[in-house]
Amino acid sequence: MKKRIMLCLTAMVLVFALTACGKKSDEVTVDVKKLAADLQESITSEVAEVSSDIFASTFFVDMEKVDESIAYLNSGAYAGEIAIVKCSSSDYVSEAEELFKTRAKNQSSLFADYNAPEAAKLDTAIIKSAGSYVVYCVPDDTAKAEDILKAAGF
Amino acid sequence: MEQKKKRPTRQQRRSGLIINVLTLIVLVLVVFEGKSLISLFARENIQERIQREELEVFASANLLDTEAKETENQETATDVSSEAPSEKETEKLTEAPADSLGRENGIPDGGETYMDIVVPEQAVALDDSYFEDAVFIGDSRMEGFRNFSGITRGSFVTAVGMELENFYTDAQIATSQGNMLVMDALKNINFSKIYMMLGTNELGAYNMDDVKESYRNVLNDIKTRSSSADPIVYVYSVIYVDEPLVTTGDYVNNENVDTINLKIMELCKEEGYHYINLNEVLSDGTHSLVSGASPDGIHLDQEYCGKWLDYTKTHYIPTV
Repeated sequence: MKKRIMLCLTAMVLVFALTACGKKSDEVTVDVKKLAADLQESITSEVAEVSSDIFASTFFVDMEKVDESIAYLNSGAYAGEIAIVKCSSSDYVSEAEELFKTRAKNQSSLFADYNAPEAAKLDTAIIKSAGSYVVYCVPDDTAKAEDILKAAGF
Repeated sequence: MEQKKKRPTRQQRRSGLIINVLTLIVLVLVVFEGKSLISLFARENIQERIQREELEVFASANLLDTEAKETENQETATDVSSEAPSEKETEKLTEAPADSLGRENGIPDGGETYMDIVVPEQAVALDDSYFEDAVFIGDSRMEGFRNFSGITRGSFVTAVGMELENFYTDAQIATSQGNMLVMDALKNINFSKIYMMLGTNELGAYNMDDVKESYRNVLNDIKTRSSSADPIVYVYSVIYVDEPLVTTGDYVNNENVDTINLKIMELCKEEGYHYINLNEVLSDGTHSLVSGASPDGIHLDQEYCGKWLDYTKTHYIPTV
């Protein structure tokens, strides 16, 4: 009986150990530039890539805590915009998410008096994370943006 | 009669120990790796995974192939266009560009008397370092300039919907310390040059003289926040709109743009500010925004934000 229990437990250890090995290949690796370019397809208005200085002063992300960042911003007429960061540490992921939520909330309150339909898009902005990546997107076509993100591992 | 408890043998004790250790390891692994195990069974089997990865590899290979083809096509197109311009291109070349219409282009009727406060073109264009100590304050049009022009220096205090009326009341400037009033946000910035653009959101005002006085007060207050005792104040003209595209209200029209610009010119004359006549390069010569410069009739696209920056770099007051 004891031998059976031992065999059973050994098998379980092996299964879990193998799962642990497999976890590494499950880690998300994102081509940030490509993802940002793909997400542009979900925004109908013109957006342009901005410098890292403008990125920092727009989203207030601590640039020392991110390895990579990219943002596409709008002309001021529409709400559509994209930002992606790769955090240096997973500890910063939730903070980056919060910063993006704050951006969406602020922009929504500004657009509310000016262009209400755009404010509605900001209220349903997509903020998702996978591994150490965080994505913020205010699309015109939410389904398309969601598909792109799903394919990228979000 | 009490039965004597049998003492376990050494082998039994060893087996028990091993079972305990294995149970502990399993428990630890269940806690830390359970999620992975679930995803292993739930998401996809190994074969599906291999297929997906194969597809990804092939997709990226196709992408590279397509990019190479596109580059090839672009090169061919460039060759062709350098040989002979198409009919459409010839047509475009014969149209007079806005910036060749002269300094008076975009000046409202009556504004000719204030030409001395209109910043003239300089022979040498500035580089971005000039904007190091500059603050750009304005509404969504200025925000578009920040995002689209490619400017690399300067501080921006901009907000969608900023207007003279809400200037002192709405905490509309997002900062790392939270949302602030414009005047509070300026406390954290060292600046000795001010580039100001307001007026588009005031086009529906009943009394433009009131707008002028509000603008005067706002600029006076902003100057008090400057790190210089005598900051240079540049006030941008309100840019014309492409009326057929505007959907935000009838009051957003070029007649009102001319009216407010005349008031801004008067203000600049009275206060010694420098008026930057952006409409010199953005007007089509008929007191209207160049067609095609703005998708919504108000906010400029990248190309024209670039022209705005170029104009700013060639229109400045040289320091003595």
